[in-house]
Amino acid sequence: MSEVLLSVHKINKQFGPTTALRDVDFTLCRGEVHGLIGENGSGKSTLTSIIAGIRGADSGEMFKEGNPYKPASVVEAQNLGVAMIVQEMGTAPDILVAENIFLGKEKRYSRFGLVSKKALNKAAADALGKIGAGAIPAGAPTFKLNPEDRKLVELAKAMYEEPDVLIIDETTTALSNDGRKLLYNAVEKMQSEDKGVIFISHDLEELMSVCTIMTVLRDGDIIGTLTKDEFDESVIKSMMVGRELTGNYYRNDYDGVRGEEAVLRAEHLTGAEMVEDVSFELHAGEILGFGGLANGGIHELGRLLFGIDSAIVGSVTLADGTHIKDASTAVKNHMGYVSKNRDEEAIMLNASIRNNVVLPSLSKLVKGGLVAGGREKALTDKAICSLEVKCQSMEQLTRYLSGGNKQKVVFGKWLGNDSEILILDCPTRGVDVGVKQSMYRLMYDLKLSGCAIVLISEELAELIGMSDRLYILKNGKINGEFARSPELTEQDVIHAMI
Amino acid sequence: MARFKQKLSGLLPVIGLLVVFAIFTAAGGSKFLSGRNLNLILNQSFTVMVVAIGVTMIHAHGGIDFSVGAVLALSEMLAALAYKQTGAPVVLIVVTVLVAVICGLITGMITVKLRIPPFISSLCMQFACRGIVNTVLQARSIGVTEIKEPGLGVKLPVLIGLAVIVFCILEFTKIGKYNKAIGENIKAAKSSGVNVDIYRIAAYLICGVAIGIAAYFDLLRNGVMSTNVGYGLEMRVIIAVVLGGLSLSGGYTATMKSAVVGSLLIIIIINGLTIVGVPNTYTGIIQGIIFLFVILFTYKRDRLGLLPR
Ligand SMILES: Nc1ncnc2c1ncn2[C@@H]1O[C@H](COP(=O)(O)OP(=O)(O)OP(=O)(O)O)[C@@H](O)[C@H]1O
Ligand SMILES: [Mg+2]
Repeated sequence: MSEVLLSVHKINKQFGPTTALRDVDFTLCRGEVHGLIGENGSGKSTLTSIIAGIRGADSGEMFKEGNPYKPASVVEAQNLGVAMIVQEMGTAPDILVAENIFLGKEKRYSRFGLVSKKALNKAAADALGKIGAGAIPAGAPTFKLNPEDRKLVELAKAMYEEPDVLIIDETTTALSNDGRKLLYNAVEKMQSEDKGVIFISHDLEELMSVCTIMTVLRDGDIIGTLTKDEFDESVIKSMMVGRELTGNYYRNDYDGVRGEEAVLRAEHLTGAEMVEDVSFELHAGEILGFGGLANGGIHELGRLLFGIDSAIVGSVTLADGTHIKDASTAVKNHMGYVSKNRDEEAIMLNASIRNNVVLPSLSKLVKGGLVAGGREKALTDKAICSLEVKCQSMEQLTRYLSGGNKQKVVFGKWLGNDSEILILDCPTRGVDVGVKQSMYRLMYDLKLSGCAIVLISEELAELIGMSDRLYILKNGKINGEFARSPELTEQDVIHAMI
Repeated sequence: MARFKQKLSGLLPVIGLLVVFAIFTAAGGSKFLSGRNLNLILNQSFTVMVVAIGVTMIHAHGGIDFSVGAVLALSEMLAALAYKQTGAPVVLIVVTVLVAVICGLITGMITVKLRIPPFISSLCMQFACRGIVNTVLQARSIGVTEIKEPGLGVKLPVLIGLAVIVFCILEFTKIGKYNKAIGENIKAAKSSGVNVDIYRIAAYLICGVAIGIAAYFDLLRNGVMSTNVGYGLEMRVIIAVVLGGLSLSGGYTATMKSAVVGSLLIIIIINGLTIVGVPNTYTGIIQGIIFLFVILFTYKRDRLGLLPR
């Protein structure tokens, strides 16, 4: 065994009635890429955020290279060689990219009390270049970047300090293939320099290939640690959930039946960015998949279909001839949309779970002009139960939920809404395998009940597993169509992507 | 613990109100607690409170209205003129409400449809209304002394009624819930199908009704309409709601309680200071200082506050 880099001992953390961590012991050695896995709300982010100085533990001790380690802030942790890429947006939108990279450390670039913009921008460009993301403009306001680039800014920020310990919390799902490469490069670099990485993800395959060792958490307890030769998918899964996972993960029918009626028609759809001349029909009772590289236009297509962005050319029409010109028309006509950009576009962080879940359904809950509280509660209860949202109560603010549970809330918004057409952009992002399975089940049930679903995803396995038909977009254009079939493999599909 | 803190910060304005009340009772004694003074406090708070109740709808979606004082003045003036023409008292309330609602509609349309920040559009509205009032009145004033001022027996029920109605709108209707959602996260509201334009304009209309009601009673209380009506009202209202615990960025912190408690707070502070002998001219400065402190407390200004937590 190599030298211990960081160890935590008997860490406890309580949030009100919730025990997030219970007597947790955890050790990170030099040269390790240490995976952390566990269900949503099992305490992964809480543990790593304590290590990164974002919050304090209630009790317990930490040691870094044998010395007591107790960072009071993120900046202090960074100075002590621990950097973290958080699960949420870790960059502030209203300041420059460069300012984000050196947040709290501007003094280095100041003379006579004034920060030199030029020096700051140059250092930031340098930081971005180091991780291979030199294309991101250091002097731009951060909100102008897309979510993926903002994550890369965080990576650049973390790596610039040349940390001993790099923590990556559920970041890969926010990145496209190119972005992931940069992330994995950074991980490799850390490993080759004999430093340590803590890697959080819900993608078992990814974890098994990236990590050298893996620790499983469940409900705030450490269940066990596995070395590379002990990695086994079903063992890890059952350690996570505490029971065997049974049943189908995706669906096991292959006839690809769908309704007669085309409920939505896109004609020559062309958006301001990316999407170019896309035409298709979506039928009732059909799950229509859209895949491709992240910058291939799939996410933009979702926004166009739902009317959030407007088309330059072409149109989206429903069976009765209604043009979808904006999102409120879409919802009025029983459409629903899960955005990939959750924290900015889909969830109200300072509102309760209840207020989030009922928002799209309020029109249906009104009686005599007033919204009935009882119906709100019933609707929210249903969403919380069917998706197993881990929360204290439905009045809890969503900002206090774990990342995956936030995603469940966003998905839950459209469950009680009687939607007939759902546009789901990466709906299972950041949720654990157990809940993913229930989400697939829910989608399948919706399909059987006649609902039409557009499933946009970057995960090919999910697309192939769930879609009745699958379109691949490349540079904004449809570059391949695949019918549902047991023979369809990822290789076939990748061909159309690149 | 977190929940207790959350509760406590919700109660803070009420505690503040009690503390301020206690301080002035101790300092001003019988003078502060006299029936006449309490009556005065209620009368003085009336305008601020009614307007604050209405403006809460706008604050809920993250807007702000700097035109309320000027709109109040314009509606009072037009109502007084219309009354002089017709001699029918009912004209007063009809005209005040109508004018204020139209002003609200215009401000709302400009803000929402032309995408102009609300503080700019409402400042424009303020200048426009003040301009009209000053041009028409010059240095004159219009008296409406024939009608007796309604006592608290009328005003209190009106106030309570309005508070209850707007409370219900805010808590139990789509208008209220949508406006709060817009204030919380306008993109999320849009992608949940909320027609954000229409519901924001609705907030301006409701606020207009409240301003109209306030104008009616203010006009009868003063008995005359002159150019200095409503001066400084917008600041007093904003200080009131912020003191009451509402966040200027909007969202689910917008409650009726902040309007009611905050208005009482600011008026009691002004009144109490006068009672204990602070010259009137200083109260403006003091209001400014209070405002600054509340903003300092409620805004995250530290850059480190931007770091993930
Ligand atoms: N600030 C907070 N206030 C209250 N409860 C919290 C807070 N942060 C986390 N929790 C709770 O602590 C538990 C652990 O959350 P944590 O974010 O560590 O989960 P996680 O393992 O990262 O899950 P995910 O896979 O969904 O990201 C959850 O039950 C969560 O609701
Ligand atoms: Mg997490």
